Amino acid sequence: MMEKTELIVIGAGPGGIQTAITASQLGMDVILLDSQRVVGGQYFKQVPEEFTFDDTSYHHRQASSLFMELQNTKVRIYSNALVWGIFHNPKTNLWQVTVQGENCPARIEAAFIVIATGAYDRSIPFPGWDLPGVITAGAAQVMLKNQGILPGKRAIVSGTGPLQLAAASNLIEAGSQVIAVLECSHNLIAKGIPYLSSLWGQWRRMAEGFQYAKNMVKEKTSYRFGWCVVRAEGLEKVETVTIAKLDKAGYPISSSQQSFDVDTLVVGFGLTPSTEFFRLLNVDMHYSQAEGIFLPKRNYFFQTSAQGIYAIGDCAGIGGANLALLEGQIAAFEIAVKTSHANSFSLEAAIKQTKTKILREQKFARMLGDVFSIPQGLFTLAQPDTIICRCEQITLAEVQEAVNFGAQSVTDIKNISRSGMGNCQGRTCGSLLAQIMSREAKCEPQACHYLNVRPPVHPIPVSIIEEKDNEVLA
Amino acid sequence: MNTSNTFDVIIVGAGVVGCSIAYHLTKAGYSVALIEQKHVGAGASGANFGMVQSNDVEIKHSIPMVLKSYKRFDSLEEELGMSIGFRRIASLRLLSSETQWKNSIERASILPNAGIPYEFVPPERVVEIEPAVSPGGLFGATYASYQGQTNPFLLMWAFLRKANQQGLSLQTHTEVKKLLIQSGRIIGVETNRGSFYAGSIVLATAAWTRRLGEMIGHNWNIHTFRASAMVTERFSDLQVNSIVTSADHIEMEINGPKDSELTVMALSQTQEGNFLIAQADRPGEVLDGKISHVAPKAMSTISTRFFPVLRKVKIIRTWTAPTTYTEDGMPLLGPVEDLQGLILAASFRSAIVNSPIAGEIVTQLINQDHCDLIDISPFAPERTMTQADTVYRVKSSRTDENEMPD
Repeated sequence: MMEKTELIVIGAGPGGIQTAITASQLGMDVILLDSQRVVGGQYFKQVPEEFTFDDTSYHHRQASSLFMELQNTKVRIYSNALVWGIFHNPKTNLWQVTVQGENCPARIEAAFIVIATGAYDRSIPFPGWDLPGVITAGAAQVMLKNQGILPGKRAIVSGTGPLQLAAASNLIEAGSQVIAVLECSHNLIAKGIPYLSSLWGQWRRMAEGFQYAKNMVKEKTSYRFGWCVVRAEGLEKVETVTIAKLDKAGYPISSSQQSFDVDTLVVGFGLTPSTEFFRLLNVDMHYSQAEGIFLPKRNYFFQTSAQGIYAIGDCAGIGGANLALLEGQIAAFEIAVKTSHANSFSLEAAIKQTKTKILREQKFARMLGDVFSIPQGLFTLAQPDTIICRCEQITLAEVQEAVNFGAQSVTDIKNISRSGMGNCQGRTCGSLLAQIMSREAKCEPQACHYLNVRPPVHPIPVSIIEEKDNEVLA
Repeated sequence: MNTSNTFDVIIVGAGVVGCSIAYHLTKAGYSVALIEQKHVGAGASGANFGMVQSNDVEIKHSIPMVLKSYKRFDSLEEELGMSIGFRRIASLRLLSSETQWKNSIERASILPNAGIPYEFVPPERVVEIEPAVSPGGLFGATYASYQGQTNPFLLMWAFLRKANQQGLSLQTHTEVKKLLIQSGRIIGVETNRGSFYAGSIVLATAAWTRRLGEMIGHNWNIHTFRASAMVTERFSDLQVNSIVTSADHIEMEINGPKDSELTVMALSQTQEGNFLIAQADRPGEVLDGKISHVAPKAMSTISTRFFPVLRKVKIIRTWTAPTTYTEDGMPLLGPVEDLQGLILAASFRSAIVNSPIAGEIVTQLINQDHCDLIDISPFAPERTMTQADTVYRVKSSRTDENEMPD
């Protein structure tokens, strides 16, 4: 089954939804695809209807109004629809998106695609990070808010940034004992002073932060700065967590080590952009020091170097939901102009209207990135027998051996050691390989290049792909 | 290690052949640079199933070379000091028609006499050898019981690890822009990272050989086609012991429409338990690494025809291999006439099995100007080619190097 449309939007988080809304309101035919059961992405994660809840927060109101606006457009929405490939069809000269989903067309073609695939938890390896009970902050949120599951009764939260505060706060609200929240950065206040002005207008965010702090104070959860988990231990799941104070460069001070009995360790080292589709399409990439990975180059209207392929929101660099909403609007306007649904004046007006807001959001994102960065020392937590590639169970020692063979890129390391050859195809370990290689081979991380991505971007059963019912290969 | 940009030998192309040549040359004491436009094995060498096979050898002139090289695999791991994941494995070509059967008769009469076990087996025997094959519609199979499979990455890096220890200068992400010639002699290469000079240059460049030749006005008769492949997750519910291929391409070559995907199935289970399945081939030179929008479907369909249980297995990656062939099925191996210092080592059938001997042959050519290991005169790079009877070829009259798929 093949469908055609003017614009395909991949990812129905705030950015993708806004793109679809704006494009559709300008008269475009739009298909919006999302791999989750219901739209909203991570930011507006919808609670299943089976759960009753009472939420009059601003966040909830913002989500509801966006969803309602989407419902009032003619956007064709397919959820539970997993995009596994983007191809170029030389016959039609259009992009062809291949989708796994029961009620969704298997192939959809359009001249324009906006990729809004968001971000996922960034991980750092340390001894025991692969034990059951060690979860990311994002996973904790999903379990708590979306599945109604308490991850555990006695937790430590370690990492950096505001997201882990949210996780800690939600754990406390759900009845977990959170012994401590460990922020690995020192001197948050000193680092934050240059950015004080960017807090202007971010009242809601500050109010959220205040609420988290209130919960933690109430439960006597200690909030330590310059501390981090260094080791998790346990027989079949995590039972003991060892933490340590860090020096200025982030190296653990061994004399400061303390151990705690826990049943849950939540690690939150921020988010990392989901860049699979950009590497699949081989668009021009550039290295971001702040994020430690390669990101797609975009022009002023958020188009990548591939004609008709746009990138908005966190997938092109962590910037938050508000920025994604703004970028989505601009990309939608630009595509509308290209398809004669809008004139360039309206595009200019849109740019003018959003320019200040975009700059403000970008500045705030930069601040978060600077203040809550991962210090170099934390990349030495892993020991020779620590697993780096979780899918193929490849240890740090094996990765180091691959570097010693003479590997000159992360792809060489992958080919020698098998890291990145498992089911997740390097989603978790890809950037870790670059970190390790950069240290061992004494080169810049960007000199390590990046892993190529090939379809399918997620494992897909053969039955989904094979020819059905004598369908002609189009 | 040589830190200047002048060497005894420059090898272009870090595929399995280039890596072997680098190993043998550095072992012989030469200062060598191995120049590669992307990463090691970025072309067909990193995109194949690692088959170490002799049963598809070109039968007129190539058997001595393949036999000698195949024997090298017995001691390669010991010589290179590490595992390359090599194991003996049988090769089974499923025949679905009398035409396919007839096509293999000559081969079945010649190979066993040359020391390569190869026989026809009826459908009942096929199921004995490979219980998972669905025998419906099968005419039988050709069975080569003594073939092999290796991990192509470990093979390349086994050569390279030793070569690096022996002083190799490995230059990846370095693209050759120009071949530098002076007074009828090749003296070096110009790349995006500066120029490198040497008395001898070896092109182990497979699918990129033709365009390098065009740079200097030589017409090197290599053709390229795009093979596609995929790998599944580990799946232990299904055991496949041999390398299983189909032979449908034979009719398609004769009767099929000019621009169709030529779907040959090749299926193999790796030692880790993943399935490497199927191969859809497209005539014409496509070197961008992008898989076509129809190949995954073609591969899935043909593989489930023979192994229905694969339907529920998940594919984790698809890719393409820029595969080469020559009209007579023999490599371009030897010095280029009327241009001093240039040696070609390209388009082997196949590169993996011939890689050990290719390294030794090129080292002899550089050492003593001729090769005593085997007679390589039939492989002269600029010979006139006559179409041979080959096991698998895409008729050159059907291919147009510059034709866009329609």
